[in-house]
Amino acid sequence: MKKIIFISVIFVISIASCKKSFLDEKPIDFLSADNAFVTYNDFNASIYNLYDLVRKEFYNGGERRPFDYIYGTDLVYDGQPSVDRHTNMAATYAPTGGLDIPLYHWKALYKIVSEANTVISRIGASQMNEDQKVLTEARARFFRAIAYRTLVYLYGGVPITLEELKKPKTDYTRATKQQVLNQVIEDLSYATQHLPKITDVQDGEISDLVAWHLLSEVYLAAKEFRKAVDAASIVINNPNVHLMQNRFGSKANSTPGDVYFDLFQQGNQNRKSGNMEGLWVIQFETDVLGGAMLSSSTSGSYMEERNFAPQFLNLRIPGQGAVSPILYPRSDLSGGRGIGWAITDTYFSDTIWQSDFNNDIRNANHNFVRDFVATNPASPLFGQTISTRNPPPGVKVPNRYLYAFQSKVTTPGDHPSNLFADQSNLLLKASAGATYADQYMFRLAETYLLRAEGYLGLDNRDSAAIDINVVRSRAHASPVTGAKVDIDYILDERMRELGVEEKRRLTLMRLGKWYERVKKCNPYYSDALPLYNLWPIPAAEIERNKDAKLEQNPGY
Amino acid sequence: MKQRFSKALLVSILISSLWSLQGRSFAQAPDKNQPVSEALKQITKAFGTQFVYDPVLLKSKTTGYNMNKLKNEKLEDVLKSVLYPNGLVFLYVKSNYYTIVSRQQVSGVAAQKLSGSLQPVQASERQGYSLSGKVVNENGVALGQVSVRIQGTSAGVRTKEDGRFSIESPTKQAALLFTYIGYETQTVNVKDEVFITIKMTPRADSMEDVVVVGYGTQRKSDVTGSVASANLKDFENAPNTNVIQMLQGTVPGLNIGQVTSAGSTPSMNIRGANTISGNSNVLIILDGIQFNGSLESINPDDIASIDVLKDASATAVYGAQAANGVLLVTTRKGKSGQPRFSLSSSYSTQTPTVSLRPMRREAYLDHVRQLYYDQAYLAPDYTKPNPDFDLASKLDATMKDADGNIVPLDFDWWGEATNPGYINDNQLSVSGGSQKVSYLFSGGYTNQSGFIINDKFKRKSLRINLDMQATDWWKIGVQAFGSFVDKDGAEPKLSSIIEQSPLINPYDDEGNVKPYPFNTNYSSPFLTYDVDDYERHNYYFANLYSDLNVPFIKGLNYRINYGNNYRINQHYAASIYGAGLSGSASKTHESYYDYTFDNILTYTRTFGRHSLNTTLLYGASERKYDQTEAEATGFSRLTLGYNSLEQGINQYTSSDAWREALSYQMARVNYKYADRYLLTATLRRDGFSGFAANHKYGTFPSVALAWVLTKESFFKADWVDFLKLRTGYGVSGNQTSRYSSLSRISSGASYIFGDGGSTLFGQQVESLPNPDLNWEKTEGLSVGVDFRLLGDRLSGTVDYYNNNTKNLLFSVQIPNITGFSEINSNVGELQNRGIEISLSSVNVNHKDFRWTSSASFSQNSNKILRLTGADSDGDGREDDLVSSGLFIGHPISTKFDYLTDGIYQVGEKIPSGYYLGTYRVVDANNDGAITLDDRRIIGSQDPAYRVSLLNKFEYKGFTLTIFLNSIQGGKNGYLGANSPSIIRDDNHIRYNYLDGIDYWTPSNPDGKYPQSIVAPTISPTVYYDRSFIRLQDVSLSYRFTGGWVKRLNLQNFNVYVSGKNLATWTKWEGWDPETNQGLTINGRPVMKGVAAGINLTF
Repeated sequence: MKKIIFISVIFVISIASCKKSFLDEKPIDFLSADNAFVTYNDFNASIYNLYDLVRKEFYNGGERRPFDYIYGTDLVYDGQPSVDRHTNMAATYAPTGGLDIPLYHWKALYKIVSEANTVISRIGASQMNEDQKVLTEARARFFRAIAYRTLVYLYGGVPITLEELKKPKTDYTRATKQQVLNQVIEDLSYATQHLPKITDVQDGEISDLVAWHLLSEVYLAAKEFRKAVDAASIVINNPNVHLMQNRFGSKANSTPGDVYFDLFQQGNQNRKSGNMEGLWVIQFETDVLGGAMLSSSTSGSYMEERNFAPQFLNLRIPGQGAVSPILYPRSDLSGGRGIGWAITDTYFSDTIWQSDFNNDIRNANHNFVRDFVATNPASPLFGQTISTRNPPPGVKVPNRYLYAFQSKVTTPGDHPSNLFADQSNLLLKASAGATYADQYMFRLAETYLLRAEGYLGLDNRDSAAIDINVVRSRAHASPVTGAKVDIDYILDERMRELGVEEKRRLTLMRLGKWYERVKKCNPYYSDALPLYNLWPIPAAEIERNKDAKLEQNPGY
Repeated sequence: MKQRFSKALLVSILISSLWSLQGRSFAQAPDKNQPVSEALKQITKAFGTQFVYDPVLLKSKTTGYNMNKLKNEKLEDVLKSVLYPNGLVFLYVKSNYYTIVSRQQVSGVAAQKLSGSLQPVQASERQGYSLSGKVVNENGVALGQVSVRIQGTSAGVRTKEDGRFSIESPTKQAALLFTYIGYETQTVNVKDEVFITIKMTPRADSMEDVVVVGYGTQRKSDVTGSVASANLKDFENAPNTNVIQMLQGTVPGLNIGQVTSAGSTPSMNIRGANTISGNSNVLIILDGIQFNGSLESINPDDIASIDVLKDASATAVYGAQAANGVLLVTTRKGKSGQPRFSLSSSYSTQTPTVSLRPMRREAYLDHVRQLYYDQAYLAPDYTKPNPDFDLASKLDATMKDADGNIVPLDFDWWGEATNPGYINDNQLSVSGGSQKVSYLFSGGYTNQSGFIINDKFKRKSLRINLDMQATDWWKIGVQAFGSFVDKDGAEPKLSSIIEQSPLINPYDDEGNVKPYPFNTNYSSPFLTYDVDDYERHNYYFANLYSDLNVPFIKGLNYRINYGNNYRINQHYAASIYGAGLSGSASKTHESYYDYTFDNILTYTRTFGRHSLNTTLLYGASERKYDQTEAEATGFSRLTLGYNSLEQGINQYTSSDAWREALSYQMARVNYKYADRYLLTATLRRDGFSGFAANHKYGTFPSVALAWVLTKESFFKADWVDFLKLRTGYGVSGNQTSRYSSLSRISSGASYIFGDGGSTLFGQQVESLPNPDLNWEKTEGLSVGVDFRLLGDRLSGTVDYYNNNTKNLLFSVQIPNITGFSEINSNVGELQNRGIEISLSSVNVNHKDFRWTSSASFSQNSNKILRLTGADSDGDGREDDLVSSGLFIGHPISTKFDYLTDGIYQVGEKIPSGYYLGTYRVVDANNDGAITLDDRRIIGSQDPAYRVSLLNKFEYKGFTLTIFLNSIQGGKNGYLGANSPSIIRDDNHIRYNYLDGIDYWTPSNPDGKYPQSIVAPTISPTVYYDRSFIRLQDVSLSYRFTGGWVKRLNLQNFNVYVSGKNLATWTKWEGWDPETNQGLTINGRPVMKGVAAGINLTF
């Protein structure tokens, strides 16, 4: 028995002698919040991710969701009706069901808020110097502001959260719209003071002017028109930015062409190319990690071409053979490999251009393509022009296979070589469809139009007209008089200048004019209702927030 | 004790002396003028002795012995002279007291004198005949509570503590049946007034009665917890490539799913779901070592036994990982003796159990026509065809010729992508050994080809099991295997095969695959098939043990298990179609290693009627995983494929790794008193690196009691051979997964500034930390009965259990406002209650024909008892987690959804957001709108019960087994989602679908599934009952027994045919009810197979 006790004791001792650190948990292929926010580099990594999150939300988060900012507005209608393209709005904008589109954006925007909050909350305990701390905070607050600004336009007053969350919270309540706007203004004001000058940042980085531009827009939303004008003026008056007046960049010598055309050609958006108009350019690079675009597929890239260009594949002209007269997909002004999901409505393609149809360069055929060359030798129409203005008999325009579209959605001749099935004929592979160019988030032309809106709010229509005319004169369009300027005129001008470049939904919802404009300009969406001026609070979110009530928007 | 022994000695001397006389001749010619009975009366007078005998025995027996000599003779000599010539012998009972029996009676059994006061009685006075004797074990020790029955009657008794019994028989001669758990049943023919001694021999196939219980083995009769041994024998001929498939439906409470691809491991759970979103894997212990690899690596032929630990009192020895039950897999060992060669080979077909196929040409064209019913048919009824409708105008250009006419093609994509599959399995093993060493070498080769082309599985496996008695007190050994799995080749994606149009040829005029058959960016399924794909999984396992009987301390044993698992996964692929036809290639390399180091100290002693077994365990384990992937895209030449990734324009790499460690201690006491009172108590402590900082260790106790009633002297029911009651309570755990309590930050390439800029790496917080995250704790109470009745004709086990799991690991949904959609948390409490019954019976047991059955039944009800504990809505009742689909008082698999009431028909008033042909969603709360508030609890996905029946018929060399398995849903149970729907968008027009789905159209108003022009606001999922009965296994084998088998020195030679999944009876529509795949293009068929094989042992 003694021996048993002895052996048991040895055994117990051997157990006790086990090293304590044996069970420590050290992740080896990811960081944890405890060691990821120490140096300036750590914080920059979070900031770069915020750039990526913004890019995903507005540009490359799939082939559908970024375009929720354009579908269901006064610009386009559906080539292929579906909830994805906002057809059957009752389903698209339902608090639940459909594709839960309101939930998708809610989630993405609050993720931006949350990442920004984490950065801001962690600054204090970091090893950064004072300058780095201030700069980092300015950047993070800018991103938080753009997320809340988008949220407040889309959903109205939303819950405000400003701190890094360390444990779950399920009792949020909605702030008022004004409270959210005030928060955005506060963050942006900080950003305008502490972000670097536009000359001191790399291409694609946010600068003080980017913050001023956005602040101007948010002041408009807050109906603080004077401040909106002042903010825009700071951008406009900055000597380092101006509207481009002359041809420039990679296609400066190509014809047909003009400066408006040049603004959207590949490689022409960043300041490095000589472009002094772009304020904040969303960056894309092909086949480089972090560049988002691939030459092998559309995945990860901005699929503007795919959505907005017509699908000539299925164009058939009655009596003119069973083939499409236009070769497809082709890297030329026919629109690459568009699939005609977003058909330009006639208000956008015709109505707004009537006064200056032939002189406005933005309406030139190479910018707003209406006449297509029949490039298919197998077609009896080979070599002839097929025009949307005067369509061949039996073809109703617009339709998915033939409509006018803005050439800025595509990059004629500039698709990556990998995407060509037959480069000599500019024929593309089925994997084309992305837009291989950087994208303007904010462009100075828009700042002028924001200031015009500010002046209009101050009832200073003449000043508004002056600003609008700056934009118009660059486009060789005839000037507008102050008497003619109203909000609808500005919205029309934004259509002309920005078109599908703009996050149109935000503008319309900011102004509370979504319903009115859709009813006025886009008969296709016959089921639009005034209540859709705001999206619903996602029902799932109300359900998850179980310890307090998130009030639903009226009508849902 | 001593006295008894000396008596036994005396008896044996007596008997042997009797036998020694046998050889002698009795030359004396008997004077046949006096009956023996008369002679005995005279002897009684002369010597004053008494005799006991059966008068029948003496009937017509005479003796010529001269009674006048009596006075001069010794009694014994007289008796010899009178009795021996008549074939009778006499037995000494006590002084002047003898019994007389026939010599035949003593030839089979040992006869001895009866020390009791047996009185001579006259046959005429008796009601029956007394048969008596004593039962001993192989060592001569008396066995109490042995069941003694008279064959052919229900009469029976039990032996007393001293092994004695006495039984009344209505006839003088009777066959007595002796049964005792763990021993061979014996039948002995006896006659009245003979005292016999029966020696019981332990069962030869003792494997059946020893069960592995974790860190040791136990006799089945000593087990206190719910432990079941799987019946592998009756399923060995089934065409299964995975050992787990053999268990499907055979052990109540062990629930095994179906498989749909070659070599894959079915899903498995024990006694229902104890977790909502924690790890639900059953813990697998292979030869004592935790096995985390894929079961595909284990050669089913190497398995000797599989034991299942079901209740918490049994699983508690595995503590924090055991809440989902434990499967103990033991591989075969060599037995000492001549080398034994075993060969087997089989071939099985593989065809789908269902005939689902995509539509062919006419069906497809009609499908398009129906999608355009509003144009193809005339309003308002849409039943009369519209003569102006031009179907061709609706079809994709790819299905029309240059003139716009529909091509006349009817291509069979399904046929192109499938072929009859097969399984070919070959096994060879050699085993044997000497007294010191035993060995088993085995090799197996399995080649399975699934029904879908390139669904392939090849496994080579090699095993060596060695055991060596190094010294008298020290044994060492190894169990080692290597398994090499080859899954080369990539399948065409089945869903994509289904979606291809029969009006499109997958090949162009040159015979090359068309990359984009529809001219959209939807690529041909054959692109994924027509690739260079190399997929290997290599598994290595070795467990070295040392087993040491500590010298000088009797009963103390120290065992070390050192188990090592290593596996390498390689997946290499190259495709000229990859990366948008620019070519892609990749190499992925994964490695995994773990070791387990267990120190087990056991002390076993028997003190009188007490026996004690104590186990102490100290162990540790570490696991390491590494992964590296290299990928390149954009190849001008892909001649060298994945072996020359540097030729790709874009090159990407990624890597991954994790580590985890466990440390644990366990103490267990097994105590037994008089083989009838059993106690097991266990305490285990587990530490795991993946536990949150505040909870690094957990402690898991258990206690179980058992009582063998049939060993009690008061137990009189003689038809019961064995009856044991068990009850146990225990706590086991379910670990959190590693890193789940930490706030994880992912990093990766995020952005680039400027044209030609370089990559900037970003980071993002992926989860909220939870330093209080705790393991799940399952407390289980169980009660069970094990029994054998009627001489082992019926045996079985009944178990009832009630498991409560607390601290459920669950990702609670939180508002996205937080930046996260969920957090790993511990919530609430879950209950699993159920009953398991398994029964085995011998229905017919004749010499040439034997029919046995076993049935199993299990029922489990799962119920959420508590969740977060909050009552935010203030209704006085704890809130459900509606957004997570969890409801208090309901199973976790509850389906909460909208109700439907048919489909909107032509002419009906349809609310906005809904269309002709969409589901009529029920406005359950009558508020005039369909909102989330209209969802209701529809039912659950859990079965009501599972039941299976195995019948086995043996006739001479033939064995036929038939196994039926069934899962039943009862009312609103075992539901599966099955609501295919179609809306008219480009892809639904272009794509093909499964044939024969009952879609709604105006001309098919009773159609079951919705089809509409536009998608409705809400198209709810509709659930159907998946109940089924399956003829899962049938096997017919024949064992050759002729003289030639012996001449060829064959120990076993049998051939068989078997069938798997031959028939399924169900109302479920679609691929398979058990795999929960309905009419979806994403399903895969379950295979049925017919196999033929041969087993040879020499």
